[in-house]
Amino acid sequence: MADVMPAIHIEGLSHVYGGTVPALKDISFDVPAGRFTVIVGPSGCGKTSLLMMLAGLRAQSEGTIHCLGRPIPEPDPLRVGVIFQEASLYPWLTALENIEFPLSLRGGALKDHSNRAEHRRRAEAMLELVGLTGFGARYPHELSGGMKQRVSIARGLVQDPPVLLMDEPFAALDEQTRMTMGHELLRIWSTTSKTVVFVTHSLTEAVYLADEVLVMSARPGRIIDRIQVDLPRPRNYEMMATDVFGRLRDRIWRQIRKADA
Amino acid sequence: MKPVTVRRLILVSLLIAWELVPRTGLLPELFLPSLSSTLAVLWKDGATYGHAVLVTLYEVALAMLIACGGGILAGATVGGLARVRKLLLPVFSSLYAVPIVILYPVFTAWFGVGSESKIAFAGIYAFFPVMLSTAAGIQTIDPQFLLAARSMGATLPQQIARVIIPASLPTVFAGLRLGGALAIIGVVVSEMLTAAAGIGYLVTLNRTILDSPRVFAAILLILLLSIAYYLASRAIEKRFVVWQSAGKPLQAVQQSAQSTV
Repeated sequence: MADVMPAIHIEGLSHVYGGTVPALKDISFDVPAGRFTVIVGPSGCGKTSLLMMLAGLRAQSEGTIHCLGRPIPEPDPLRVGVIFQEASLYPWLTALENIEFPLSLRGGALKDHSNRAEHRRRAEAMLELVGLTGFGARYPHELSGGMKQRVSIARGLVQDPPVLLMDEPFAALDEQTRMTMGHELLRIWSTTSKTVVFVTHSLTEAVYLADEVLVMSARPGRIIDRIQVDLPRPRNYEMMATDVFGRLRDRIWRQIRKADA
Repeated sequence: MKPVTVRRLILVSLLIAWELVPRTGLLPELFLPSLSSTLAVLWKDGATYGHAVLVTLYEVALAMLIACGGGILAGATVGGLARVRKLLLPVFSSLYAVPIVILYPVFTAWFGVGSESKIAFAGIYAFFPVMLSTAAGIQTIDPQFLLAARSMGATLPQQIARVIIPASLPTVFAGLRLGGALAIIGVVVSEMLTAAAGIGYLVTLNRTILDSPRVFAAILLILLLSIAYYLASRAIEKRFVVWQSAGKPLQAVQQSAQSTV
């Protein structure tokens, strides 16, 4: 893999919040293209900050972040898509309009009719991909939590960015919906071959989804362990009951407890 | 019985009571002239009342224009810029509690007893709720909405037009509705205090000569004006803020959609 450029390259990244509070310390890691990386860590360890920096939404104090070989000083939706918690869908737009939103930000959308039709077609294809065909005209408040998150994923994918960042996207969902959504995400991921960085609090979710789990320490956040998850794909629910799954989950848990102490 | 039916029945019985109570002599006509004699006066003096309504409407319209325009502009500035907010919001909030009607004599000295003093007074009276709710509407926008917009590559003008304005619309509308109602109150009250024209003026004029049917005719017109305003503002609000009427359809949709997630 050494001669292949990683999708994400982070070196010596540190961040000091508000000039005094150290938030992230000396973080270095690479994410090879097409890999599913999950970041876990205690609350307030800076996971979300790290993700925001990867998205170009926040500047780091020190160190370099390269995304597809170049720094990312400001958001670049054609390189990096971000999926937030469900609160970020716009309640005044229908599901389909929400998905079209990023496309409509790029010039000429209102004047050019063929452009608009193309946007609509792409948004509808995304809706189908996330299994919501027929729900395009619904407003977010008319959708369940899981459906809203499917729309968010569709919105993140609509511009086809090679890198997808997900900030606890399923945190607001109940346990059952969360499991279903995780499984769905893997199905979608397997058809799109994106590089994914996924932040979560759930250890089960981390092991179930990841190729690799990065464990972060409490503030100032550092990477204290990197755990390869060698479970075969496609993953299924039965794997959760296996010894391998349990041991991986246990190892992450022990690292986090150590980190939190 | 449905609430709507009950409401209509109450209205009808009030109108019947308005006719019967003075007719049967329960109350003298001086205190409460019957509905029919009130309507008869309206019919007979149609030209006088019509002119008065036009004067009042003109003043209300200009007062609303000042209050809404100024209130939205000032509210957006105060809500959008943290520094201005810290400086001015406490001042505006405390001014809101001052009974601004005490300024009215000053306004008549400045602007005379004609329409200008009514417009100025009612405009300022209605300005505060519009300004404060606009500021609140902008201030309380979910930060995730803006973060998501930035991650999708929205420029600042796009963030304002596509996120900030639609997101603050429901709160702004609530302020406009209240502001409009206060503009009506402000105009009528100031017409009652010092004036030579308008509906409020007719109330005061006829009260001093103890002509009760004419007083009630004017009161009835003000009532109708306020109701018309309320209905119109609701209709406009419904058109623009579809997504806010959340609630009832939600559960039905969720039930039908449960199998999907």
